[in-house]
Amino acid sequence: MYNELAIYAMKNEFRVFITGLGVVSSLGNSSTFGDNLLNGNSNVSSINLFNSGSFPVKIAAQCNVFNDTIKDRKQVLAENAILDLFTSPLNRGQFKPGLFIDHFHIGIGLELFSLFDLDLMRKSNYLLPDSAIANPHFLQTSVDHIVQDLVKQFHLDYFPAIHISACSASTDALGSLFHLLRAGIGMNGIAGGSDSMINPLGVAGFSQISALSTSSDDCNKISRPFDQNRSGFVLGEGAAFFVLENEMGISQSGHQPYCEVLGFANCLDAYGISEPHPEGDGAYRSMQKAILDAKIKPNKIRFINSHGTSTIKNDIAEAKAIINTLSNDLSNIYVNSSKSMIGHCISSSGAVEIAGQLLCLKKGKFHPTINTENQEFGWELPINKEPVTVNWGDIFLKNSFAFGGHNASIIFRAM
Amino acid sequence: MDNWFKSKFGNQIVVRHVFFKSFNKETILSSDVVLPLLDDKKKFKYMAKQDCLGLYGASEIIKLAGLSKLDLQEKVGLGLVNSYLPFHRDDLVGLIESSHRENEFNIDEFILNGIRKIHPLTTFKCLPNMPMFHISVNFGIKNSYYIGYPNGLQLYHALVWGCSELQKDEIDFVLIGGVEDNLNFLVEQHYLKNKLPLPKEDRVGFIVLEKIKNLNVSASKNIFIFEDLVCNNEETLDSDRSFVSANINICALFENLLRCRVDCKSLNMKISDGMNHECTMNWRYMQ
Repeated sequence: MYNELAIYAMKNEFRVFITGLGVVSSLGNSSTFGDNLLNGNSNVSSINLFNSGSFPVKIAAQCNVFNDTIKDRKQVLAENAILDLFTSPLNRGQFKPGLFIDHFHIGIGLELFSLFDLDLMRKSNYLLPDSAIANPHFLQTSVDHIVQDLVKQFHLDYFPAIHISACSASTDALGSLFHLLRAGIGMNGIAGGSDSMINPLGVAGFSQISALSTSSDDCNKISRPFDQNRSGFVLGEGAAFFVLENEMGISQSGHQPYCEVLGFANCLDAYGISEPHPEGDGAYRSMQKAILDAKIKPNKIRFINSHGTSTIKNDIAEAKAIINTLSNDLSNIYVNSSKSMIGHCISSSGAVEIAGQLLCLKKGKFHPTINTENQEFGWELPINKEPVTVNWGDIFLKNSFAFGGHNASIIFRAM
Repeated sequence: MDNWFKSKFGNQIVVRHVFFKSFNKETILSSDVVLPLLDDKKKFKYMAKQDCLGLYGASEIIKLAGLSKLDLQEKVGLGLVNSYLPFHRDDLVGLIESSHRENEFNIDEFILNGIRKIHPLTTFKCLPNMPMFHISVNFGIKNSYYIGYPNGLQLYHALVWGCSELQKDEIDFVLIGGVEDNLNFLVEQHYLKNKLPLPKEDRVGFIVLEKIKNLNVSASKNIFIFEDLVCNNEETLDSDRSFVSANINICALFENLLRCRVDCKSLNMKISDGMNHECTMNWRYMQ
């Protein structure tokens, strides 16, 4: 294995492609997700994963998958996405458990302790009960245990890279793998993310910092990215994984690509703990660096799948950054936000939204944004309300920005 | 043994500067040390122990390496690996005790009373990406980053990332750090569940990765050359080297590099994630 790879590493750069994907979202898996996005469907509803009766926030975009009360929800979602990768007709059955890969990068949400387990600890004076020591799920399922279980599902003998850059984590996972494969360090790998914060602590935590919309009048109209009448974001959940292969990998596997990955960059805001730079400085630098990394000119970008959270802090800063990146020339570009339909999947948002975008690209379309009616005066973006045709070779950029000042941008070419 | 990583990066990346420090219950990191490092002292209220450890470690390695403000802004990438997510016992006890109705846990009581017992700033204090935020904002580090957790094997990925970033020739220095806020209620539960001995110290360490081609002759002494880093490799023992098996500790690399420098020895070190995965790394000491 290593000697073969050493030969590949002699070349400086390799082209890198996405050849497979598996996803689970509130709008379904790879069979339905793309069509739902193109039709402008949304699936925001009352929270049914727990009793949210007294909570100020009562809605979320939840995935229709079995709610395993033993396993962490992140793990359940990831397992569903992996199953989709293995079984989706779009992947033509070419990925199976035991697939050999050189890398595994995952962006994942934080471990959260179970309130009910904590209640059990109360009975033993907050000491770990003997019965808990044998139970890896007791009190908190740590991220390394979740990831270890996923590794077993892929039949890997490997330790994955666990990215924890909050809402940028899964985009960082994808970008990091892209850079390794482009440099010839290995031939293929899996990258993606999984997250759900739709639990009592997650909803309460976001409510405490007033990030979530408390509206529940018309659930599917609450997530309004870039709209003046926004009221905060809607929590979503989901997972998505991608198979990435470089030229050497594809020449051996013969897999058909969904798209080519052209460039990736991330950077730090070094500004505010929970708010981005008001002029979108970090977002601008992230996009600029990704464009340089892709070796293209900004005017070659035709589509931007924005971070677009439906919060005042993100949306205005991101709009400014996009306009600056394109030097005010918005004549040849469309911008959308998947969060208008699927809410904010936090650590997995980048991966889930890229998966949705690639499924739409398969149908030759760039999906619309719903609920954006009145943009901020002076910072209007060309947001498409209907699907737009995508041609072979069109280039699109995806943004992910995070609490703590993490900015990540990744660029793809449609194939 | 030849391997792919060695072929790509071997003998091109060096470490001149190493910092490591541990704190036990008696020698805790004082706020007097941390406060002067803050651009805005009011932000101290957002900082947990893990953030203080990270900021202190970063300040020490930046001093050792003599990095200027301009260097930090334009030429430095930041890779950080943190230990498990910390949460204080008192916060958890307050939360759960106030979430009971008639001696039973009650979700309505949780949202009406329990959650209010946790200080709102706790949200900012238990996130594993916060040490990186405090380092970036106080030292103006705005370039590329890598952040992972929760065990020593994530350091493998951070090192691969750091070498890969340097190879792109866009930055000249990569700070790679580890933060272990070990003396914490929730962190200790992880060790107990994994049947590992409870750690007795909080630890922080940093190194600076640089390209050997950027060093002049005088700077090329008393350094470690990063020879290779291999996952799932067979154990390679060499009598001239100090061999260390580090288990899941993130900061063992920094601690052992410092020790090897004193002993003028190269380092052959194995890290494991406690789940049957391990990597071996070789650092050649040059006097």
